[in-house]
Amino acid sequence: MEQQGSSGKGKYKVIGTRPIRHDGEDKVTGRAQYGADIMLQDQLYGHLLRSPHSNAKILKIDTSKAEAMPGVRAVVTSQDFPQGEISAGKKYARDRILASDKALFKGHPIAAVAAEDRWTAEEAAKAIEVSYEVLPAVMDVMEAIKEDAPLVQEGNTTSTLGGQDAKPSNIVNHTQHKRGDVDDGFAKAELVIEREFDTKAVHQGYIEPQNATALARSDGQITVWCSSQAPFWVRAELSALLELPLSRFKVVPMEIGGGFGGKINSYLEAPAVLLSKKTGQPVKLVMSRADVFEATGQASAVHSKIKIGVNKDGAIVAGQAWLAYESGALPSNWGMQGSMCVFAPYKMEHVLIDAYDVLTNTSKVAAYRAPSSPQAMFGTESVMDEIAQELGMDPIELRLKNAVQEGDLRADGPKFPRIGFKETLEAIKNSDHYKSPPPSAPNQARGLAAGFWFNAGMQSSATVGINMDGTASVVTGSVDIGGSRASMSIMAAEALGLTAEEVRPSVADTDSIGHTDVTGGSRTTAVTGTAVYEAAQDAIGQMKKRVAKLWDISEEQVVFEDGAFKSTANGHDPMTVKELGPKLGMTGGPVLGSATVAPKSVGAGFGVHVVDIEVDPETGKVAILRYTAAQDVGTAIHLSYVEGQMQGGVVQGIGWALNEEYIRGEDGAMQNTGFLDYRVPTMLDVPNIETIIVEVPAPGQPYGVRGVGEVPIIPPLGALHNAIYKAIGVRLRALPMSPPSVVKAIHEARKIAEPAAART
Amino acid sequence: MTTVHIPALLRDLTGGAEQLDVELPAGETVSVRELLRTLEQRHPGLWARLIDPATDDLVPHLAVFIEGEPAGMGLLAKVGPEDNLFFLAPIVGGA
Repeated sequence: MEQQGSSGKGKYKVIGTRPIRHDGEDKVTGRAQYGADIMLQDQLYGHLLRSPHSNAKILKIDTSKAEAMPGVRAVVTSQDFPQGEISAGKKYARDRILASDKALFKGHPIAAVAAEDRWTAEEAAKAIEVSYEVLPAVMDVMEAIKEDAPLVQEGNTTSTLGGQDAKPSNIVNHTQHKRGDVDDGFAKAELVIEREFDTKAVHQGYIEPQNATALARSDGQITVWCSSQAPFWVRAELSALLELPLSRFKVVPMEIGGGFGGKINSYLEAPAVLLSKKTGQPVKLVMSRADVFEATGQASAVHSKIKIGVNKDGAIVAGQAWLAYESGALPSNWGMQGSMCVFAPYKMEHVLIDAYDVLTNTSKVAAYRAPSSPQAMFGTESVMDEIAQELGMDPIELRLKNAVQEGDLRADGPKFPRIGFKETLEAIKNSDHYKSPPPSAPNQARGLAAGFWFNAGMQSSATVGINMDGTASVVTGSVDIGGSRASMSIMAAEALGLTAEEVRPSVADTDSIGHTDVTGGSRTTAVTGTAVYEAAQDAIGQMKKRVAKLWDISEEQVVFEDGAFKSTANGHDPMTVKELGPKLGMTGGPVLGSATVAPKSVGAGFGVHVVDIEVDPETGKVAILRYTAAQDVGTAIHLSYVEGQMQGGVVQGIGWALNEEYIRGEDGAMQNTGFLDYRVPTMLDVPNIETIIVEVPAPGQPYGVRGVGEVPIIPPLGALHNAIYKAIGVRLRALPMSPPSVVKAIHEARKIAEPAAART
Repeated sequence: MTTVHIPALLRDLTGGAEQLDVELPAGETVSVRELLRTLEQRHPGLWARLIDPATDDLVPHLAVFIEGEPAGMGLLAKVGPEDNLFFLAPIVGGA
């Protein structure tokens, strides 16, 4: 690992180190408790009946045979939600969980059964009789956008900000960003390249399937144990759908076996609660892997058109993008987010971006690491590579010439605060990897690409308790997915003058800490970390009063510096938190610092990756020879987890680029609903991913933290595309660049080349 | 001078203007809602396209950004004389 521009070097004692994670032993020994481990007295097992059709009207649901089966305790359908007039938004939320009038995609839950054991529940689900009127389905964005396409939601009309188009359509919304005059810009540009790109739907591929266990007590109190990135959002959704106050619900986040955005939406929690309310017993629901693939939220398939005009010196004059994002069967706004990312890294005087969210008969799309940015930037980075080639420029120099920096306008309007894109490009330019000669054997090549993500803000809460021996405990509401317990401990330790091991971190349920938004958007270390910092400052403020009592001086005469309380008056030796701890009882009792934050400012992140590959021309397999990722992380809190986030993102990006896709049959059903056929990279597919941590502190965060986890999934798509082009001489412009598609591209190129050669 | 950046699809109401400037006395702030009401008088129709009458809030999937940062208070957020105001999609991430 290299570390460059490290503003934190020498400034911090604990930040930027590698303590052992507090939850590590439990996780590697299997002692950690995940949702499926929950076992309560009188617990029932639930199972969902799912639609076999991709688009069908539900004419009738007859649950009588299932309910009459021995061992079956309850069956629920959408009718068990509180009925009455509801908003369109609430109906969409409810329909995501249990279909009401239509089955919108294959795997859409129709009914839920609770029984004494899971096998009885499964058999009972099969005994539910559903009458469908099967309708034509549309799975592809470009098909769905056509005027004569089957309508996924008959009531949907297109929201354009320019008013609502009254004509029913599969287009949910149209977003546009416009600056200057692109036509004029392209006319003046000395080189214009316009290309079209396709990406397929991919899944986050977390190892632990969704699960939920609910206990609705007779006194009206409801507890839910689940695997979620956002337990407070689960509570809010349950409250809204069941029309009960938030105070009725306690959501307990269990350990989480991956999420990457796919565990933000809730799926099983509400059916589990409905079944528990009906039976008075706890009910557990666990998804199969096929359920996870078919009926949670994949990342959008996207069709895009990217056009960039430059002058001969490489300066971008104009950029135009057209983006159509798969929304799934329910409205979403991923295209809107993609429109804000597509040209974000580059200065453009003239820009026009149009983005569309399009309904399809697939499960509602969910977030996946830097949601919407990888698909959009795949096209941008491919066109940038082609421009560099046409101009004979080094791809880094082309990007450096156009890279945004503080004060520049993002393509969608806002001005960038302090960012580190140029520093990240320089980091790759100066890396051992980039300075080494590109691989030169036949079918070998090097590719490069960049990535951008905003990083999210929102709200977080934390408490920092000082123990009676001067050690500390940190409690947050952020589910620990990527090592955040360790990061929170480090930041609290840094603030309090302790070691990371002297701070015990906990993730609390929704009763035990203030509202905390999702673990996602790479917000946890930055925003929950800010709450931890502020809570530590609160505790320090309280401790100053105790020290003042002990020293019989005024509170204003006590300062906290270099991990110790000091007197601005003479005659007192510095006192550490560890030394003060045992004296807290005699000076007024326990100290508990708390903070809630909703920071305005979050630091955007940029990454630049370089990859060396070799293509096997016979099989089309792409082997990764060397991979280096550089990223501006603001300040690296735990070096190992920063590297781990970068490496994990790269590996998922490699999977997206080279192998992963929803393969659909003629009926639209997914054909590869298991990890044997849905091919994610394994240890055997990737070399060690080299990381370069760039540290340009983010303004507004106490330690300068930027999010890390989102950005690294973006550049692999473009970097691998650009490398494959250089290796085989064909630009595929469609993902995944799997062995069959690479072989096909090579054969087609030969077909074109051979007659041409014959003519000469 | 407060600058309101007009979403491209609303510029038919502003004669094509990409941004509108609103004079605020030095040191004074107004809420985004008040600012929109002021703009509505100059460019009728903006309010109806930005505000959902069912919720009396911004239309779905739109959020207030001040100086490029999400304004958690939305229409209640205060803007000052030097601020730039945008209406963009809210940011939700994955990892």
